[in-house]
Amino acid sequence: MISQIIAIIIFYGALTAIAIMIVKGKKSKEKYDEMQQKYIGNAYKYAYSTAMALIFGCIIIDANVGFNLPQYSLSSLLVWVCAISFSVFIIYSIWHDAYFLPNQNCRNYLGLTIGLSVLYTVLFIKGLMKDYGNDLDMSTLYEIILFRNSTNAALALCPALASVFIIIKMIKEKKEEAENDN
Amino acid sequence: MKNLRLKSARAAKDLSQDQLAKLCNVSRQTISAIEKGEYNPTVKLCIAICKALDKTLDELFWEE
Repeated sequence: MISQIIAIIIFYGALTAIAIMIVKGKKSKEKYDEMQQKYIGNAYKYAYSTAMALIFGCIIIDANVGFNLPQYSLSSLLVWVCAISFSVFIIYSIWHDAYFLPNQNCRNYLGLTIGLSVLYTVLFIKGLMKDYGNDLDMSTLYEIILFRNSTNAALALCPALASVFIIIKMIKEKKEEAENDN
Repeated sequence: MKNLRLKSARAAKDLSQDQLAKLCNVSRQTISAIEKGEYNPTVKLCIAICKALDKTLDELFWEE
């Protein structure tokens, strides 16, 4: 009975937190101009569609093995779903200059994205090297290395892609500025 | 379709895209997209641009 009450409190607590986040999110969006808001909306839409398609893919994979996928594999797949959907969101936003405050340069985010991608790449390599030292048969190799280490790979991929697109955007912007000066 | 009238009105006022963007409280990229015809602004933004450039809506945005 007590656990059910706690579960209900947690559920409604989570709902309230989401409602607060949405209201605060609307206020913070006011910082962006109308074109940026339009593209941020599109980015959310594409990221949501990607997440739905990937979750459907995960269900198919799980069904393929008789709904018996190990829990860590499933969590790892979900991390990939989040990383890929978030990548779609940031790539679309960066490409359309939608996630920088008006007159702010995308360069400001480059240090952060490079730092995060380096950190997770190091963790990924460290994990691979640690597992490589152990004697693993093929099934453990598949389950442990592929799934456990791929989580760090997924987390490295997201900021790495953001860094690449910020650099491309910076080059494009420089060209555009030169064209405007002429 | 490129909005050359906006570009020339901005140049006549000796304003850069960045300066016009600051006057209208939008990003430089938005002004650039409007000039290139890649973005269709709302009436609210059109009015802000017209006020910043001392032009009428017809002069800058009415298709001929």
